[in-house]
Amino acid sequence: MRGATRRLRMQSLPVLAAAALWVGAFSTLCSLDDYLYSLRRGEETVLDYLLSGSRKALSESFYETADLYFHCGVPHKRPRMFTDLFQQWRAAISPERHVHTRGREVREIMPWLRFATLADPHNVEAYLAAAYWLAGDYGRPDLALRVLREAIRHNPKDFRLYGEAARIHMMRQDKESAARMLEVGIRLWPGEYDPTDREIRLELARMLSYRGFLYELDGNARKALEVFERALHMFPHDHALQERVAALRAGRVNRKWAESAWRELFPAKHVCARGHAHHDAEKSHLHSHHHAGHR
Amino acid sequence: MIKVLSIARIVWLEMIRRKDFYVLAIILAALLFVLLTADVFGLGSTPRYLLDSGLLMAWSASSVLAVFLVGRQLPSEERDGTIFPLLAKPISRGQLIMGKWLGGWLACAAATVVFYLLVTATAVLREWSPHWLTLLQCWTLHVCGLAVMAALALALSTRLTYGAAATTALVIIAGSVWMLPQVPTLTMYASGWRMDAMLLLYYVLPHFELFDMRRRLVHDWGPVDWTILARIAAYAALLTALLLVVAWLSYRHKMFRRSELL
Repeated sequence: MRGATRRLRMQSLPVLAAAALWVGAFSTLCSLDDYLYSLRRGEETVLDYLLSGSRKALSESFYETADLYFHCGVPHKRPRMFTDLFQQWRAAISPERHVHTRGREVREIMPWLRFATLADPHNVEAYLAAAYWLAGDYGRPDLALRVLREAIRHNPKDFRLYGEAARIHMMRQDKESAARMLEVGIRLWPGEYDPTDREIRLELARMLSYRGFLYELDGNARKALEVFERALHMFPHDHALQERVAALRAGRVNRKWAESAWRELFPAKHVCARGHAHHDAEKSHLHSHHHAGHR
Repeated sequence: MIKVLSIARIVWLEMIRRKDFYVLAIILAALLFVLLTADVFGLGSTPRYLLDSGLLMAWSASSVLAVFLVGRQLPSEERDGTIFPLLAKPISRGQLIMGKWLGGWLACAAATVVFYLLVTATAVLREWSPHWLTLLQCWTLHVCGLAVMAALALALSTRLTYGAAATTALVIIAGSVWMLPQVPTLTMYASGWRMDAMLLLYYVLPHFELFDMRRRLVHDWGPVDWTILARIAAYAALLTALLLVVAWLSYRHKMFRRSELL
């Protein structure tokens, strides 16, 4: 009798263990609100969720490699406790200088940014860097917009993507699309970012300034004043904003000036579909917080 | 010397007969093909990442080949009992060690030529213009690194089984490649025995990172100064000689009992 009870207990153990595991898994799943939300939207699979940590790390690693390529293979200088013969030889093989990739050579960073976005589609920095350089030095704003469209599909609530898309639309002199993007971007600000962060506030001020400029181009002084005042409220010591607000308050709206400034700031460029865009051979290096090397 | 070359020839023939090299070459070609067909934001040719990734794979493949090919030489001779007829011939254990290392190293160097040709051809397809002298220097230092790896695997295999020797050699190589270049920075944040341990490893383990000229080749920095190249090659020769002496010291009085081996 005792033997039969013991056998029954032994046989039921795996079933009990499986049941306990199932209850545990179900409870964990129910507590993962984010997971359920993303699963409902059909954006992520179970595997994506489980591997999210390693995917982020991998994506960061690819982003770092893009940074290395941007600096022509020269790594960041790190402090060292000592210098010996091995390091001298190493330095002779891998020079330590501060150089940047220029012009169309910037395409060499793109594969790594692509891998970064493939590894983690929520790596917005990688998307922004790719769009910035594609539209800038590489001279292909059409490709940059394609990248941003993909980025927005994966990160629809990130205002920075709309701001960058608006800037590129302005480069292409597409006022309507730029205005549309800016409206969405301003509405989504600050999203998950800290609204007291200076960089994040600057992003909003930039979007507001662009929007105000577009209102001025349309001759809508009232709306332009409204958004410039909002930007000035954030950065009250900014001289350019002070001047713009003063001019608009005084009714000094000069549409011709706005149009000439528009042409000067965003000159129309021919973009060849085969990638041979008209490109200045010695274009000066553009600095931006978006590019891979200066986060 | 002829005896050493005869043993080396047998190792060379073994590499041709076995499938390791072919499998690695096929994997490399397949990975290169995947990279070649990858869509990068709709851009055209971007050869550097292809060259960089290809050379990294060539490094990994050749390291694995060197460790596995050389690391199994002595243990497999002992396991199969062929060590007895081999040692019955008029060859010393030193010549045996030297022959095994030389054969394995030359076979790996030849395999690396094939890997480099594959990678270079793929990068050229993507409009890369090779700097031949830098490429030659890159290959030369790579082969120097392989000499050290082969000697390390052989030295370990004199006292360990094939699996243990190969695993230990790969752990040492990977640890050296990833950890040693960081030690001068890491020691800034360590103190006491931790710092001493790091410094000990830094000066005891081989600096494989010195044999890696990929970055220079990929980013068109041009050829390295020949004196530096010669110094690094001399460092590789010194390390290899040291490891071969260790292997010989460990193997010269090793006793084999037929009843235990067979």
